[in-house]
Amino acid sequence: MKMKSNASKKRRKYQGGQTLILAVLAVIIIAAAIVFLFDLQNIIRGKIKAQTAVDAAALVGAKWQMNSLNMIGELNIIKACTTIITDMPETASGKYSSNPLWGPNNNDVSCLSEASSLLSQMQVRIGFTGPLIGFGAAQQAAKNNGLNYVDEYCVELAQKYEYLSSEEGDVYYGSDVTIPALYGYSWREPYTEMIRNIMQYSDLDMPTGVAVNMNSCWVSEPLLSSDSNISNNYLSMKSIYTAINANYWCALTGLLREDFGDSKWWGNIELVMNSNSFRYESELLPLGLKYTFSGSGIYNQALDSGALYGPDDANEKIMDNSNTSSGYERPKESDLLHNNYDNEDPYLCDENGEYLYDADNNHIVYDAASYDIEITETGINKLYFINPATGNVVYPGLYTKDTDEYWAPLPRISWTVYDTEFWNPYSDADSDDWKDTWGKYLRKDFKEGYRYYGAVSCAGAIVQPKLISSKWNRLDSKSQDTENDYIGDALEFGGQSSSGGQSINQYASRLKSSEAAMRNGTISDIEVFSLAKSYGRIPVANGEYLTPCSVLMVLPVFERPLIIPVELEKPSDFTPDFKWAAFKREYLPLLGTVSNVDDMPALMAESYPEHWNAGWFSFYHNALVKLNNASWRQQGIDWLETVIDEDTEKTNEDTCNYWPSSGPGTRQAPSIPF
Amino acid sequence: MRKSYRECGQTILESTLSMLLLCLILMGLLQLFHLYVAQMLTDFSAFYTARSRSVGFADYIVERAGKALVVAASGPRSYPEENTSDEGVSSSSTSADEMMLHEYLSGERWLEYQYWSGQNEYGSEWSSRAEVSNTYFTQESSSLNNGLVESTVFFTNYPFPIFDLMDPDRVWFEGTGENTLINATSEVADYSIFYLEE
Repeated sequence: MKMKSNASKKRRKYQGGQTLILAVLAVIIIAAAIVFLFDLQNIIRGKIKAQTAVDAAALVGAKWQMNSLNMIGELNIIKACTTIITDMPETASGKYSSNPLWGPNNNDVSCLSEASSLLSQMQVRIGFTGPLIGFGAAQQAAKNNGLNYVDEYCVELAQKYEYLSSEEGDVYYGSDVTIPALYGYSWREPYTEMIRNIMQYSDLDMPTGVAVNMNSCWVSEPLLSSDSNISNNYLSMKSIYTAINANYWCALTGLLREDFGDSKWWGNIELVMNSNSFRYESELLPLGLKYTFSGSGIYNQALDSGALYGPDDANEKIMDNSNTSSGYERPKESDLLHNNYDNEDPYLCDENGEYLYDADNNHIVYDAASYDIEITETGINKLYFINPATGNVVYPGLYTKDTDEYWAPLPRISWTVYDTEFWNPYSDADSDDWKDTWGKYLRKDFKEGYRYYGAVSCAGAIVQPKLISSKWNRLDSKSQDTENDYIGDALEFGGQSSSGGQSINQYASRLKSSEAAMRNGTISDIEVFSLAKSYGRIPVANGEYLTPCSVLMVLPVFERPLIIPVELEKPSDFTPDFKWAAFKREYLPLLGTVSNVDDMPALMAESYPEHWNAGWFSFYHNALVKLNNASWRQQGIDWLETVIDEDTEKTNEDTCNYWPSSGPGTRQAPSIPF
Repeated sequence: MRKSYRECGQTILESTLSMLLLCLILMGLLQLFHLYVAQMLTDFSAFYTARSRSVGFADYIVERAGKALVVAASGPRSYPEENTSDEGVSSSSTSADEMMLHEYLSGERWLEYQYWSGQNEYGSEWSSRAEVSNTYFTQESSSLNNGLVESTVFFTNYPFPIFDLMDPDRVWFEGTGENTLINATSEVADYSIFYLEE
């Protein structure tokens, strides 16, 4: 009896523990779920915060691009005004004189040219300093919106700073601090000093000034070249590595069918320096400008387009003020300066108006010191002088042709113009080209005058939120896992016989995939972009508008910076992913020196231990190891060529771009990657 | 002896009931977490839907952008169908999803998840609406003639099967079970109003 009683107590004791075990299990599961929710919330909050921060940075950068362009445009206008006013002295009666003796002589024109050069120097200064101010302000905007500085961005900019400020950079920037083309502006020292200040850089400390990466066109930017087409066409594409790791054959159709040969299919990959000529403006947030001496053509084009003065008074113009609400009246047409001015020098001609030329086939200008001009209504004017002995008027039989008989200074004036490599109008909205690009993506067409490519401000950042679930990696390692063991594998017990079992296996497979992403540290990286652009347009006659770049001369017409879709104008080589940039800069050139990809771990550990040991390149290295495996490539080709419908002979490859017509929505976007 | 026998049965009964209750609570909590995940992703989707619209994307791209961000709360992929092999387009991995979403956004492929268009037993559906609100102007934005984009994103009939156990007819709790609605709204400045035609 006593024995039974003890046994009963013992059994009850065991039974009580059953509930406890279940409760503990439940608590563990609930705790894991709470951790997951906490991390998810952290990631989503981080994404929204990072997006807001890069939006602010891009907008501020574009704002300063706009300010710089407008200031440069104003200086162009000052040149135009100065030129015309200098050449058009007023008489006491308020009319413009037709007597050439009142006008400037050739020496005055030279002085005007020098004045123009000084204004050009100011424009060059703005071209360097304006965007840099924007870059600095963008960093501050990003920080104000919650982003911290990023070591890697700072180091990258510091390296560029070192290159810029050392003799090594002379190859591209020129050893002479004063470049004649820059109108005497010694740009290099103040420019590097500004970058140094933005970085908050000193010899003792690491720089801490850069929170977002922004578009630039550094001449020292490393590029890759190889004698292998596979390297040139594929290895510089980040998405290829993702596709390889995911066995996503559809994105690898071209690569898998390349001729890989027996060994070293990647060729001799080398790091080359960008040898594009220096643009003589800030390489960060570049404005895309040029400085030209061919003055008259630039001015005439702007004049003829109606941008400077319109042919009617129904719209605003740049060089006359029609803003009656501010108390100004648009001048009468006859009072506009350009109507009383022509841009031709008084040249000698014959009595029929045909110009005379010297031995070098140049126009012959008339000698203002020796002759006076008798103005006629025909425009062909007689030259004369007064004989001092007799006081008689003498006609030597020489004629000039000119409307105003003043020296035209325009060919001596330099203008800041748009570089057509950066600035050009979009194709016409009715063209197929338009419909295949912007027209497919956007809700509506651009307003008139806003259809142009130009200077943009692109900001990007990578944020790595601190997540509790990132400790997963440690749990894995404590369970004595090897590289190929995953918790997801252990949960793949569903079998394929039932739909429920298949679902379990799918979830297990996703868990395994997430584990792999956690191990290589990429799952929590938040990569965000933003693109902003300064918009402006030129009002001309009849309420119509021109794009700023349709008039080559930079004019102060930019109104506001706005966010636009990143995918449409993002600079092609721009990436905020410093790990990817380091992979291209450090790993791939080293790969070009070896004949076996398996040699890379030891070589990288020796050459770039910091980045290699931190796992920066494991994702890409694993992909290359996979790609190097001929049987893996064949597996992909086999899948692509497998016939899945005997009747239609449809293969798996045919399904890659399949867009079911019966499905909701239609395939409207073009097949170009974002 | 009889008393001891009764006690033994009592313990089994208590344990069973406790376990059932615990299981119910556990499952319920997990489904609440599931709903909360869906809510958070829907909030995020609302933000990006509004942002996509604010920079001028066409409606179908705005819709795809919104859908792409709720993939994690959209149930199994129905097209292309998932399988557990490591081959091809149907592989179940985050990287493959990432690639496919990338292509979906650029219009290179079609994707379909069960909760997007009522393909599960509850008929869950995702929809969004992004429109310019002319009634909300800040002092600064009104001077720029720059409005706001307001987006509303919602799942209707989001799965919440724990209530099936408690109420097969789903009449106890309005707004649950078949009627579970998850929605979110967001507002951002409308940039495209300046550079795109009305």
